[in-house]
Amino acid sequence: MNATPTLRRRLAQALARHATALLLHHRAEWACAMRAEVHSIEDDGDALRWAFGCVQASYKERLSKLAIYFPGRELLTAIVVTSLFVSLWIYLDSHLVAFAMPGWYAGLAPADPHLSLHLWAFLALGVPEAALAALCGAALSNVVRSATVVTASLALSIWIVTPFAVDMLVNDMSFASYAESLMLFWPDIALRLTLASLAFVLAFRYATKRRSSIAAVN
Amino acid sequence: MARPPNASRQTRDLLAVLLEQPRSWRHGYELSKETGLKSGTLYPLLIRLSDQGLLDSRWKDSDRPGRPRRHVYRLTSAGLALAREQAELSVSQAGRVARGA
Repeated sequence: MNATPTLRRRLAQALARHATALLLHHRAEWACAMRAEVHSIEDDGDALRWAFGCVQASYKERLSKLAIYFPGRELLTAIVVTSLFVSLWIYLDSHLVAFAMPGWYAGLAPADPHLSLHLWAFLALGVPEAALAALCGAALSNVVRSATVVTASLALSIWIVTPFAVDMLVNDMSFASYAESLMLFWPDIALRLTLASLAFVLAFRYATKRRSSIAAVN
Repeated sequence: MARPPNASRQTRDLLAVLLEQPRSWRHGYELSKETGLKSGTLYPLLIRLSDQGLLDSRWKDSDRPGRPRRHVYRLTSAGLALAREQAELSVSQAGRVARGA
């Protein structure tokens, strides 16, 4: 055997490690089997092709687990919640914000609107966002064992992607103007982000505990 | 209509290869060479057959020193029965096609 592995061999080993990492929690034995097989193949090109396939197989296996976990009712709930959230955002964005603050909000508005908590925006967006985050937390608890890595990124992506995409479509906003509007509403943003993260973590923990207790009973 | 389980061409090919030497333990790379299936297709099939109790697996020491142990496979008695059933079905289907032609 060569002292220094070739580039193809190193790539194959890296892919095998990735495939193993993907399956380690659910299919530890199969993960080790794939990796061992890559190490056993003499030809570097064959090993690389084999390792590519192993990555593909690992993703297939992970996706099949997701499909099992997403039964129809939960998927339907996710779609309904997302649709409601987007509809609500479009309505608020195109009517309330474009014309004026609603009458009932006038009494709540603080002196400095740039450094304030916009209660209506918080309620309209924060609650659906939190619900979505909770749903995602419960779903992801089946895939990952630790919430720490994904929590922040997921909550951020939930919050940023949806309003951003809708804003761009509805108001034909540029990225710069969108970023500017974010800065104006930072108290809302911070609170909504916190709420979404909290909902995500709580749902994640609850679902993990529930699954563990079901497994213990079985 | 939903296809019955283990009726895909790839599964039938794999079962047929495993049936050729039912008592031998075969590793994944060897099965891949014989069936023409790539590892991305082969492993999900092996996992599924194993989950269904149709495939037995164990670790086998490598023939070459310094190499890791390999995961090897062979059919269980239920797997053998299914493989034989599939083989008979293939033969009868081929016969029907030949008669039709």
